[in-house]
Order: sequence, then structure tokens, then C-alpha cells
Amino acid sequence: MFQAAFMQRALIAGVMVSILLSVLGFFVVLRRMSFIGVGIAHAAFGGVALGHLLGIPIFLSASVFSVAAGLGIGAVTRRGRIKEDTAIGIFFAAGMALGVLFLSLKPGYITDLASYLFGSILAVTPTDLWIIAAAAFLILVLLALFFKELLASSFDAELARASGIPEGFLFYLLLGLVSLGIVSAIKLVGIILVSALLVLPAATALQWSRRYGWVLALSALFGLAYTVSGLAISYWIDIPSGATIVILGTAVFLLSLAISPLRRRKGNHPDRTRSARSGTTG
Amino acid sequence: MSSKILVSLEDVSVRFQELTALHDVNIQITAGSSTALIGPNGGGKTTLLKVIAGLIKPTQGRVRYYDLKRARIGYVPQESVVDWRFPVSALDVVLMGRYPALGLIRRAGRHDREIALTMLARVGLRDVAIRPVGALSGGQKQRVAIARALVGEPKLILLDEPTSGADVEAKDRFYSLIRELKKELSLTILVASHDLVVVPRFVDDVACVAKTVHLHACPSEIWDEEHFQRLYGTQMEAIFHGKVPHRMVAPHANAKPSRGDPARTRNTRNTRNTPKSKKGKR
Repeated sequence: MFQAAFMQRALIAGVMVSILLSVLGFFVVLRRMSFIGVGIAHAAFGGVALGHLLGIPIFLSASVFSVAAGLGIGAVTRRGRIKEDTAIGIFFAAGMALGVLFLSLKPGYITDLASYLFGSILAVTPTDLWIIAAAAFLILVLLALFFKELLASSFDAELARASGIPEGFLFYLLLGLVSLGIVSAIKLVGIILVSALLVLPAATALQWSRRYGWVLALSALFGLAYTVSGLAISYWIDIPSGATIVILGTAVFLLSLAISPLRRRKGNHPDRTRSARSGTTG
Repeated sequence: MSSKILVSLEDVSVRFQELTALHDVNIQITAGSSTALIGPNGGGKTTLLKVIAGLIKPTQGRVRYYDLKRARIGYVPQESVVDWRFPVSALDVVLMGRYPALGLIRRAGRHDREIALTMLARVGLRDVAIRPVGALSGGQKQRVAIARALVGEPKLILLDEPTSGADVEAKDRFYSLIRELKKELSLTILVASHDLVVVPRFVDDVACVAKTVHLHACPSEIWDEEHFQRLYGTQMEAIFHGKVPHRMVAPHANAKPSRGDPARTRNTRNTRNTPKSKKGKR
């Protein structure tokens, strides 16, 4: 079934994008930035439409919009002037509004608009593959280089800052990388659903392990499994790829939540009562 | 023990919008000292520690570090506002204390793990090293935080209410441990605490933080909520002799460092008799 060229491209793009978003999602979920992902993706719509209007590469214009939205949400929130959900709500709507405006300026109907909103396996071109590969390489290398600092500042930002880790820089770096990652996945899964691919794998992995190495590995594995099987199913029974991937991921997440080995342990940990009684020092 | 100055605060004031947290603080912290910061709630103890840790920039005045990089200050916050489901073990958290020494990009190696495990053993947590940090008791988490601060090989340790909630026996054990560690690792210690019974027995000196810093003692009225407002700023002071505060009228009779007494190395020097003294204005 993966013999068709477009299907091969969709598969290669899916593998890259799912691993990329799963690893980014590890930090996004742990830092409770999931909704920022939604905002960034929707703000990218403005960039998609502008690209169409001006005839410039969509990836470029969408990246500019999403990175600007990501850093913008981060900046206004961090300065403490506006609450995070308010900032996301504003950037989200502004990006979409600009998108609608740009589209109205372009005469005629844009046929692949729906594929940007909902994702399409037909839409991935060979050029897209190279762009996604380059973006994935850049993002994964930067994440690897700063991994321990990102981990420490995600766990406890204040302590990280106290020990001299450039926590502010890492915060913006992560937002920038998440924005780029989202844009690279938009063609395949669509603006509306891309944030699910960011959140679901890590959220599922966290139901299975409390070791960050395992959570990262499982996260990538879940993301990969959702995407590949979602693409296959969407090909077989001809349903939209993005929606298939997300529904599959949600099902696995809910199942994991129900049978998670960590959930049962939480309330009644055998060591918990003992260590709680032993007091402050030992 | 040397009496080298590690940190000095010069006319430091901190304001959060209308709220004045600290006003004209002048203190010096000398190497090898141990001081308890006592004082009422909202008196600025935490703010003072954060200023020294470099987490809060003074609104006015300045903080000077002598021969002391910020990474060599180990800050242990009162209660970390973190997500305890974060997938890291106690060992992982302690290793985070090594990150600044490693610098960016370099990973923690076997040597770092050994240091971290040794320190975990030293605070009595070797057995739970690989357990998820969220599964530990409050007291154990506190000791993980201490170990994390210590593996960075700090010169100065800042502890913010490290034993709040613990009973007297647990406090005793905790501060005994801190005192041993201080000796072993030649640390300088600054500990903020409400505790007037246990803590003063384990430190060389006491300073009272109530907007500004009163060296060696607290104005008696600080302990009397009713009279606090009315009497604040008068010269009455309570000096601690062991457990029980007792009053004394002449406030600065013992303000000079007593060189003959090695057990009471002055950590903080009175700088009120400098020309910039604000005493007359109050």
C-alpha cells in the first residue's frame, strides 16, 4: 500500500514529524504549555494565507507567524503583564483573523486551504520532505545540546536560574523550536489537529513511566505508532489522515489512563507511609 | 576560619509595586559563619535569601560577591512549587546540581553520578536514590534539595524554612546534619526560620529580618503583634541566649566581632555606624 509515491512521502514525513513533535511534546506537557501549542498552530494560519497571497513559500511565511506568536505569547506572559491563557487567546485569534483577511484579498478560491486546516497525505511534496528533514535536524540537535538544562529548568525554573542556568533563554528557545516543529507538521496533520500530536504521545508515555529517559523513548514510540498506523488506516478506508491519527492517539491515551500502573500506585504507595513517618532526617 | 567576606549587601531595598519587602539592608556575610534569619511572616526573609541567590534584583542598592560565582551559592527554597509527577528520580534531581559545574552541552558522567550518590548517602537517602522524587516524603524531598545544592560544591548555602512542619526531634536531627555538613565541607550557612527554639542553638548568630535587618537580635516588639506597629523602630532589642529571648536595652553593645571566641565568628557586621546610617530618620 505504501508503493504510491505520495504515500511514501506521507510516510517519511509522518515518521520525522511524529518523532520530532513527540520529543518537543515531552517538554511541552511537562511544562504545561499544551495550550500554547494550540495558539501557535492557529496563529500559523495567518502565515499560510500570506504565503498564498504573496506567492512565497508557505513554510517560510508560516514559520515567521508561528515563531512570532510563540515568542510573543512567551514574552507577554513572562513579563507578568497578561495571563497566559489571555495571551494565547489573543494571538490565536489575531493569527486566524489575519489569515482570513489575506485570503479575502486573493481572488478566487484556494483549493488546498482545507488541507492546511485538516492535513492531507496528498499534500506532501518532495521539497516538503527536505524542509521537514532540515527542521527536524535543527530542532533535535538543539534539544540534544541543551537537554540537561532544559530538563532542569522544566523541573524547577527558579532553582535552575539560581544555579546559573540561562532559564529565560531556554524558555524562548523551546518556544521557538516548538513553533518550528508545529509548522513542519501542518501539511500532514493540519493546523487544527497538530497540537494533539504534540501533547498525546508524551501524555500517554507519562502514564507508563516516571523516568525521563523512558518517557522520552515511549513518547517517540507512541507518536510514531499513532502516525504510521493512522496514515495506513486513512489510506485504506479513505478518511482524513490528521483526524485518524488524533483519534487513534486519544484512544491509546484513554486506555493508558485506565490501566496505568502508576495511577494505582499513587494513592497507596507501600513506601510512602513508612518514609512519611520517618520524618525529616534519617 | 577566615573572616573573608563572601557577599555584601549595600543599601539594598526591594519593592514589589507598592509593597516594600526590604528597606536599606546593609549586611556582610563572612566565610565560615552560620546565621539564622528570624523574623515575622512577610518580614522579607525569603526576599533577602533570593536577593543573595541572585533571583531578585534589588530595586535599590547593590549586592557584591567576593571571589564567589553565583553557581557556588546553593539555594534551597522553602517549598519548590514544582510538579512532583515530573519523571525524575532523586538521583536525577541531585545531578541537576552538577549541571552548572559541567557547563552547557556536556553531559553528567560517572564521576558526577558518584558525587551525587555520595551526597545522597550523606543525607541518608542512598536507598531511595532511584525512586521517583515525587514518591518521597516532604522531609526526604527537602534533603534531596540539600544534596542538590551541595553537589555544586557551594561555599554558601541559603536555606529557606527548611523544617517547616517538622517536629522538634526531626528539626534537631536536621540541623545537626546541617552543622556536620558545614564542618565537613567548610560551608557558610544562612538559614531563614520561624523557629526560635531549635534553630538558634545550631547557628553562631542570629539576625532579625523585618523589612530591614537587625543584627544579632530582634526588636522585642516584633514578637508582639499588637505592639508591632507602634513600637517598630525603637531601640529595644531581644537578645537570644540559647532558647529564650530576653530583653536588653543597649542594642549594639555586642556588635563588634569578638575575636577571642572562635565559636561565635561574626557572619554579619553591623554597618549602621557608617555615615549612611538611617537610624536617626526613623
